[in-house]
Amino acid sequence: MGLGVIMLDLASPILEMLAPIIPGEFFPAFFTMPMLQRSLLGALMVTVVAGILGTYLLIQNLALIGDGLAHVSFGGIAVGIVLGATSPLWYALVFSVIAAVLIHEMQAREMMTGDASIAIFLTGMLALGLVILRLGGGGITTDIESYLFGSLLIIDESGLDFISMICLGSALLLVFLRNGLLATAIDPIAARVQGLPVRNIGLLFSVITAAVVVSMVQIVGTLLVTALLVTPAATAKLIGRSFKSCLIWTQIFGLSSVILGLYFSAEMDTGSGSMIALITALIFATIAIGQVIIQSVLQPEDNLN
Amino acid sequence: MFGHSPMSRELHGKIGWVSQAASNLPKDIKLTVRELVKLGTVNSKNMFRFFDKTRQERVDKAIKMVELGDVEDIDVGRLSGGQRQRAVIARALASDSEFIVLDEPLVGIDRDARNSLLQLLDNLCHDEGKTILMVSHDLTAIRQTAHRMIFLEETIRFDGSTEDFPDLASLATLRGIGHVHAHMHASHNEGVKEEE
Repeated sequence: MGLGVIMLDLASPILEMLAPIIPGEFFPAFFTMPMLQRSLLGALMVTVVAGILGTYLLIQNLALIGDGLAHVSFGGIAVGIVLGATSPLWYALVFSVIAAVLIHEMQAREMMTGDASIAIFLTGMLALGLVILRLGGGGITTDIESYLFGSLLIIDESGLDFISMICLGSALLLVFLRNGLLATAIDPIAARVQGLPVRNIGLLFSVITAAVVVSMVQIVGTLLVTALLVTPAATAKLIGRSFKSCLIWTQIFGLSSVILGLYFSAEMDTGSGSMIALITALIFATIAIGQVIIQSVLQPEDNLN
Repeated sequence: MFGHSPMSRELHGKIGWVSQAASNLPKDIKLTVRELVKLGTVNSKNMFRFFDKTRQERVDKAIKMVELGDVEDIDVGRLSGGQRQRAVIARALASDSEFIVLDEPLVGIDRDARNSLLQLLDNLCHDEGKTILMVSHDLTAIRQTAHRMIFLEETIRFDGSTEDFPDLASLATLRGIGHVHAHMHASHNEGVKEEE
């Protein structure tokens, strides 16, 4: 029995209990049908871990690493599909982890700044994926499209096992590392003087990021990973006043984006990944604009500067 | 250093580091003073100890020492330069280190902040028994506060007690610019002071 099955067994009574109060014509099915319960549970788990990760990524100005690694995963998925793998996500995991380690090492050795190395990996591996798919004879099929834009319906039992394993493992590591991780992210030099293993912490963090990104591919798709990884954390930063409050707000924004996104995509029959991504962006825009308006009303004299 | 080689494991938690004008801190992070100071208590030995009560006490004490009690829940991005410098010093203090290294702490802060910072360092040295090594361009500040000065310009030009440090005229000779009044320009110099 996989981890995903255990998680679903734990969650499904709660979901079924909530089902009667869930609005909508199609959305309640996410709380009653095992197939959709899997999707909902997977989406929620991924969102929680991605939110924590995103808060740390924003401190280090690494917002785009998720996007880079997601494209690398696509290359891995393509290789897996062409080689006839039953679960190409394992290929994606290997590719993504290797790329994350290489990007981290290039930065640590100051061979290249963060952005440039991410950009090279992003385009290089995406191109590899496209070429290999063409050579393999398939091109972009619906199966592959579901990896690009996410398709909650492809989450089978082994898919949920995969997501649960990565999410629980990463969450555990992040909780254990939290002190060292924050010290390293805020001020690496001071952390090194204090005697923290800055380099190993950075490396481990890269591997966690790579794994979480791959687990997100099924939920929002490789093209939209950043939406769950960065946008809720960025929105939280607008209103949070401490690191702790940012972590909490990130979860509030992330989880409500997923639930609203699933609701609207179910009711309006749109892709779930794109709807979730759209909602995260809308929440960000609403908060950002709202804040500007409130500030200009409260402190009009500031506009003179 | 303390009888061990630099960066060796035995030194972890013994040295506190205060970066240049606290400018190493990312500008737009939401991190309260208290959260920042708490980071100073973490080292390789206690990284995974989550229920360490002394940590809280050390943080309280450090914040009190630098007199940032009334802004401890404000995020560091909203502090003034001098306050931020103090917050970073508090982080170094929270590590309980006996030896504190400050890199250009006086850059980018106003006169009042500078003076109260020097006062703080003086207290840390005399009341708390900390050894302080400060790198600074501010010769006056160093002469006012340090016990020992090392004057660096290409090489060590002076190393001795602060009272023995030459006056301005002989300093010019020391720097080899005694006769170049016409083209004299400020060259790179660093004063190092050490309090013990």
